[in-house]
Amino acid sequence: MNLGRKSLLPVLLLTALMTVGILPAWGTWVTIERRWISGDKFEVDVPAGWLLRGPVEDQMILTRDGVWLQVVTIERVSIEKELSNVKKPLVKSMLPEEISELIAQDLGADKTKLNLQILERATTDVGGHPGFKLVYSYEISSKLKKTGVCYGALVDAWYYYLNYEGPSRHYFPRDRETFERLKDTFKITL
Amino acid sequence: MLGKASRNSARHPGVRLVCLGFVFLSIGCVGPSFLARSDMEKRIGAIATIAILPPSVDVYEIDLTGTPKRVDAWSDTAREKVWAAAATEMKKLKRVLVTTLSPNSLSESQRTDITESQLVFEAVNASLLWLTSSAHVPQFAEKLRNFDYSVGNFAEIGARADALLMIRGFDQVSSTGRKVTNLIMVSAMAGAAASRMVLIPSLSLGQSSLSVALVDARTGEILWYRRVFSAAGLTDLRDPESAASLMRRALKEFPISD
Repeated sequence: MNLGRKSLLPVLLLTALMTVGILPAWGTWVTIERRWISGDKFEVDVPAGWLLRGPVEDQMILTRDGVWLQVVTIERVSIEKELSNVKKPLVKSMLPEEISELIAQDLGADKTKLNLQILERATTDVGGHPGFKLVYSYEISSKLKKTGVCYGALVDAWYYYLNYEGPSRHYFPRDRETFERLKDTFKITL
Repeated sequence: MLGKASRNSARHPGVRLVCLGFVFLSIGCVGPSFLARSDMEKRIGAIATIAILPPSVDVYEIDLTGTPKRVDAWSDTAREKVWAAAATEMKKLKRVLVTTLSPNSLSESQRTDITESQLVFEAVNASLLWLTSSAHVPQFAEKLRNFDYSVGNFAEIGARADALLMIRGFDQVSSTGRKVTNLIMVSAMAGAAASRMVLIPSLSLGQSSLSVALVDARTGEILWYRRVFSAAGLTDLRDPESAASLMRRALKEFPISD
């Protein structure tokens, strides 16, 4: 393959700029320590020293040491969209207990989550609205044990959730309190 | 792989631009040679005994289509060779007593403790590869400067030594068919490329890597970490000499010396 000069120059220039960080690549990770306000969607305090993957629209992803060790996902999803594993939609009239049951089914249908166990279920306030809490554990294909906690609520035509997962050994328990404090600052804005 | 360029092509601005592009890409990929906690120097003075944990090693065969498949027998062989290589290198240290922790000397719960720590070490490896591959990003560089990673408390084996050496190995071995095909491809294109600048496609022959970490035996905190790679099928962790060579590179700049 001959590389023509005209086709080569823009590609190399873009690569160079992205490599030295002048032009952020898609999915740029940044650290911020402040309240994040996502328009008319949600607000939350981002913990100091945690990395946030931008750009943030309906989904925010946070990690302190790398997503293999701890990851917080905060998202707003239209209830018209089917849950990805169980292929069923949430319904506007569902009670928090019913939503948590369907979310638990969706987690169980995720083929990457082996030996899933639901450890705790409860109803609770989420972002100022009636919601649920689910605590669960599972193994991945390498046999690494992981634990997760999910808070969710249905508000109007949207499902809002905050999810935190990490290896059960050391990382999940270590950063659990940070996540719970973050969850307490979470507010759904309408 | 770039083919041989003609004399005129070598002076062509396009050639200079390609070289400049690879320079930029290389700068982006270079990370630190090792990572260490900020208090490592203070803590290693208290280390009198180091136990080498059984390594975790995965060896894959890559077939002609590029599909990797883990081979249990090869992985077992590589684990033994890597473990022996680590023991040979580490036992040269006179200041500390180095032992190997044989699984046969451990109880079921102790073996579970080690297995679980190795799985977390794999996850730590993945995170560190992610950070070091983009070490030019200021936020990532900050993370690496304030190195703070752990494999979790060793409830069961923490009393066996002051520190533990953890090893994670990875190797890809090309099948014979893949190697032969690659040789034919490169040979066939080299002649065609002789007169102008072209890219010669070739098959990746695989990569080998070793990650080693000195870990506080009580807290599981990683005090020192280094990862080395060997590309293009140059290393075979099943071979004792090859494993020893890569292990010597991995333990270069080990924080405890004679």
